[in-house]
Amino acid sequence: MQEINISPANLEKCLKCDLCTQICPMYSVNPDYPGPKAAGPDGERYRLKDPKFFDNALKYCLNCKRCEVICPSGVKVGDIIAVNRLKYGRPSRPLRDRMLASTDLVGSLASPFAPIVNPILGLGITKSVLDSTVGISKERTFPKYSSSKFVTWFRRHAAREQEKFARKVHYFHGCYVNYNYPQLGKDFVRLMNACGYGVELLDKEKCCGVALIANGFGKQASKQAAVNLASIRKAGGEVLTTSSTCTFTMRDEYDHVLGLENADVRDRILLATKWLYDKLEAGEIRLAFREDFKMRAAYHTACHMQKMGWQQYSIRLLQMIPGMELTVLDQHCCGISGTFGFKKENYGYSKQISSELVDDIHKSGAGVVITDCETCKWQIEGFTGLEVLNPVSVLAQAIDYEKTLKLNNEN
Amino acid sequence: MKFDVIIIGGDRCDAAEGLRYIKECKSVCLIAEGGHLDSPEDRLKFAHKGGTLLLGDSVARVEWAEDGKVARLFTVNLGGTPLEAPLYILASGRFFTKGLCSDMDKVWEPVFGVDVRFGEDPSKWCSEDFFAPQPFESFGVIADSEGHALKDGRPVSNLIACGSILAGPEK
Repeated sequence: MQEINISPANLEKCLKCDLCTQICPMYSVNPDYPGPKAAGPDGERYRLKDPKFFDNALKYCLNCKRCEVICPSGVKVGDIIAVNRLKYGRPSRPLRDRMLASTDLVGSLASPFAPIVNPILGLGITKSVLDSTVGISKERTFPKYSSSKFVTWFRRHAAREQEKFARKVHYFHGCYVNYNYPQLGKDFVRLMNACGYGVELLDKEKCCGVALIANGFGKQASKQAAVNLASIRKAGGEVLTTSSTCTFTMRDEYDHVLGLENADVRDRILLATKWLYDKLEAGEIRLAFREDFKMRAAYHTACHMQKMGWQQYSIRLLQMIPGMELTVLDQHCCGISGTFGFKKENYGYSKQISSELVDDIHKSGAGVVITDCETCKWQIEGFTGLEVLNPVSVLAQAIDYEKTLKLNNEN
Repeated sequence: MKFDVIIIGGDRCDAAEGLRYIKECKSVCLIAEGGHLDSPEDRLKFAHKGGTLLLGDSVARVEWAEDGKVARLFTVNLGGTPLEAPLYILASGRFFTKGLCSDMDKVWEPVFGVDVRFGEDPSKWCSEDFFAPQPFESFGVIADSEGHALKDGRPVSNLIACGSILAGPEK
């Protein structure tokens, strides 16, 4: 029903019920933000008449899409806001915004010098300088760069192994795995191999573009999206990811916000946990778990995960692990919204929004938090001090590799 | 994905119905297209108590077993993942929440296509007097004495219709 539209964003179906405003994490902490109803469908009626009605306060939208999930009438509130920001918005600090959004460029530059870059970025003086000159909050710590990129590791140490497998999946690793946290990519490869699948990388992979979209660089985002879509088309078969936001961006934002045709590949872009769960249910894959694995964890549903409706896949997979004691947290926005929370002027809002989630995590008594989103990971690690893992890493740790491999070779 | 009960929501009673089954230690899935205007907090409570809340999602397709039972269903968000339960509850409300649909001469139930009672003469569906009882208010799904929705005149033994979607006196 929700897919039968009148206008591209179901604009005229808005009844002004204000449920979206009630659930908006930004509206509750920031009096300058008019709320999703006013910023989205209400404002749109004016903007269609004259773009001068564009309100710069739309920059406060976190793009969490909770407004769209709660809307009883199927109005794509978040899409309306995102499209208008790209069309009329101006970056408040162009240099900083460009720097934060260019994940591929900055990652490629920083990665080879990681042993020097990481300590320098961690210094108090560097943080103060970045704060006062470019406007990156000094309260933030940048995720550490890895000295060896995931892609380099894969080509050197894993690619040849993959040829042994008759069945293959493609992997869209994303910037975070490539430049900052190759371990997640390694865990993914291990998990897929145990399940009897070899991993291949895409021909060309660019950052999905979510940070560019959020910072108003639509043209650059479209260019990168085109490269990714072409690679996915060429790859054929399923393309798996380990980041909920990359997945959501390529499946929905490419079409709804950038206006790029992706219907032919959309269903093939899947989060690894969804793919794995469906294969397990169909009996095509089996998992054997280690008996000595123990973990007490809390699962946080990232906003884009809820928007896709896919949190159940990750939760159910984690619940299959015998030694897992899992608390599923109520869905709250963590407040970081990617690059948004790094900006000096947003840090306060970001921290305030996180408070409900942080309280819930402490109450759960969990020693580890599990989530499918890397930026939620930074926020939760920053504010709770707890380790935050992706479900794929937890599964890779929890399986008995040899036994699982044997089970799947019998299939 | 298997559950004990799957509720197709929309009606104001959907989350309360789900909570009742959760109290009986059953695994319950509630598919709801959005928040409910009257009581948005009910759905959040349902999720907090361990119910599986598919918020912002809707049923895309239903598969029927040969014996006339509902076999499984698929949603827009979950795509190819089948959702299965021994019991399905149709609590999708009426026209506003899309539990019932209509065009100029007929009224139907869009998810399962179960039997709907409505007036034969469309010119008599509404009363011109705004404050008079409106005949369309009594249109709805036909159920047997145990609440099973009828399809082509025969009760579907694992599908219960409840709440305002039921045909009956004005609600």
